[in-house]
Amino acid sequence: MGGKNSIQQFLRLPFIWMFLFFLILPYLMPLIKGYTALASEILIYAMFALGFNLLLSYTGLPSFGHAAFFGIGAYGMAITQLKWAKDLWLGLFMGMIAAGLFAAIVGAILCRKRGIYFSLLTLAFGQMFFFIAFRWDEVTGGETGLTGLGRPPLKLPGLPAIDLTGPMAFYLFTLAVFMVVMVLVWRLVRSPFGSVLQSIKQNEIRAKYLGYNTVFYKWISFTISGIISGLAGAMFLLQHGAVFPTYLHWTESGNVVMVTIMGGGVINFFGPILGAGIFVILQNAIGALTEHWLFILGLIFISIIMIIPEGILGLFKRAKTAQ
Amino acid sequence: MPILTTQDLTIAFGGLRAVDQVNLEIEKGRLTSVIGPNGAGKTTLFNLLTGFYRPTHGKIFFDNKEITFLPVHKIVKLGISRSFQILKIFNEMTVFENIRVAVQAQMNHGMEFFASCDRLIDVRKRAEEILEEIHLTVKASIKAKNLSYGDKRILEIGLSLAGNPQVLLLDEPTCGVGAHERGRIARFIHDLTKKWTVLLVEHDMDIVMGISDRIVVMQQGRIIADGTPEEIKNNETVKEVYLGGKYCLA
Repeated sequence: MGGKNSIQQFLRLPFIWMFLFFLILPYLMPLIKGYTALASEILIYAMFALGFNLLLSYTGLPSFGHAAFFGIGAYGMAITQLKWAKDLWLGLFMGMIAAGLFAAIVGAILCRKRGIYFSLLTLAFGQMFFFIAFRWDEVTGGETGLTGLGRPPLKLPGLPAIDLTGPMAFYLFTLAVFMVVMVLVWRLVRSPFGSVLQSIKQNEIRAKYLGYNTVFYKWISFTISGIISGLAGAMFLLQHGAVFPTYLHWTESGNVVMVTIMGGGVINFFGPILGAGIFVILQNAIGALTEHWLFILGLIFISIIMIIPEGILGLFKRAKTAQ
Repeated sequence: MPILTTQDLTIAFGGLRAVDQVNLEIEKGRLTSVIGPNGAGKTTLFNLLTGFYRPTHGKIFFDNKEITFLPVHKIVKLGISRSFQILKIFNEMTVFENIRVAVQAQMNHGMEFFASCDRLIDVRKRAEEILEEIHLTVKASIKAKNLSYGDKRILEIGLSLAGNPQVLLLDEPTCGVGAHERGRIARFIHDLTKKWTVLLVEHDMDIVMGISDRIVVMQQGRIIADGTPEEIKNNETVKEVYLGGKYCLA
């Protein structure tokens, strides 16, 4: 492999272009009456959807309770800040650990279940966590949640602490976290582990008969997906400085399903990212016009699924096949 | 030397004994066929031997080791593999990817999270060898769902071979295959016996009589006859339960 060759290969990687696009995204936001913080929200939501899609499209497990892990990640970050230390890395780490731990427990119970039973049980567990967050005043703040939380400065070894309170600084930090998550998930789904997940999705009994302990693989996938969702939740807390039980509500779980499918996550790795962008922007645009934005968003979602069941990126696939 | 043995193997679904006190010894390196009318318990027997069902009663030994209650994936790792009557291939993967994920299981590469599949040279080499063996090398980059039905059948068996098993259980490998492709699959199965111990469930009597070393006849969960193709052809009980039915022993 020559030097030039590897540069060419490097440039062929889609996430290089994605990175460049996201670098200028905050400057594009005003065109659609957006702002920098909205761009951060897109990235956070995209992270959540990528984690969710690892389970949906790469393992074949439709979870209807994923907001629980997102919310647990946010609470993990909040409680760490309140009770322990106002530290960015520790908070993110605890958010991921908390979400991962609960995902591991729920996954251990659910990964033997298949199809609709799996989905309904994730929904039930999600609501269970929602009610715990709603009721447990001492820890979660109950209905009013935990508010007034700040953004601890970013500390990197050998560098002075960086203040993240400005929207642009926080956006760039979010972009960095997002890129790491995206590249890791990208590698994961292309790894030998990822190929096993694919085989489980396509025919679990055959995968078992190849010698894979499919329940164990599904459990690992579930846990990783939970960890990524938790990280997204912790970032969401940093973005808003508050967490409420509604973060865990099943309607939020429904949103991430919608985002992922609408963008084309089922057929394309980048689908959830596109879906997240559309969701956040539409929510902002329609939300400014009417309170009933979810209704309109629902109509848009239904129309897209009726016309292109594979999601928006399905259009490109069709165009390719037509050529 | 028997490699696979069952002792009083029984499974009851409610009142129905789908497999009833089956004592079977499978000899190493030979092709044993299991025949019998629909509902005789042949596929259930396969499901028991591979750990998919847990027997109500009885024991299974493989290579002198008891495997009765081991889960499927452990039994497969020990060296018993199977193909299915209803195709179980990975439709959205290419032929090569199908075989590769199978080889990867045997070589214990499943838990590598961030490596690239293409970097596993040993897996790739072995997968290419298997493609040669099942004569699908030229079709390696075709998606499995786009193969001809006969090729899908061969790939189904190929997936079972990839784990390099000691015993291969084939459940109706010619199921649904047209007459012109049956001969090809029969020859393919016959070639397998050069390397593997094969246990075959098959309805095509020409194939069974032509390639089996030994035939076991089941009816209502029990073994009613056991012998060489010649002996089975002339067995009075078999003629009674079998010949009068929809099958005809050539």
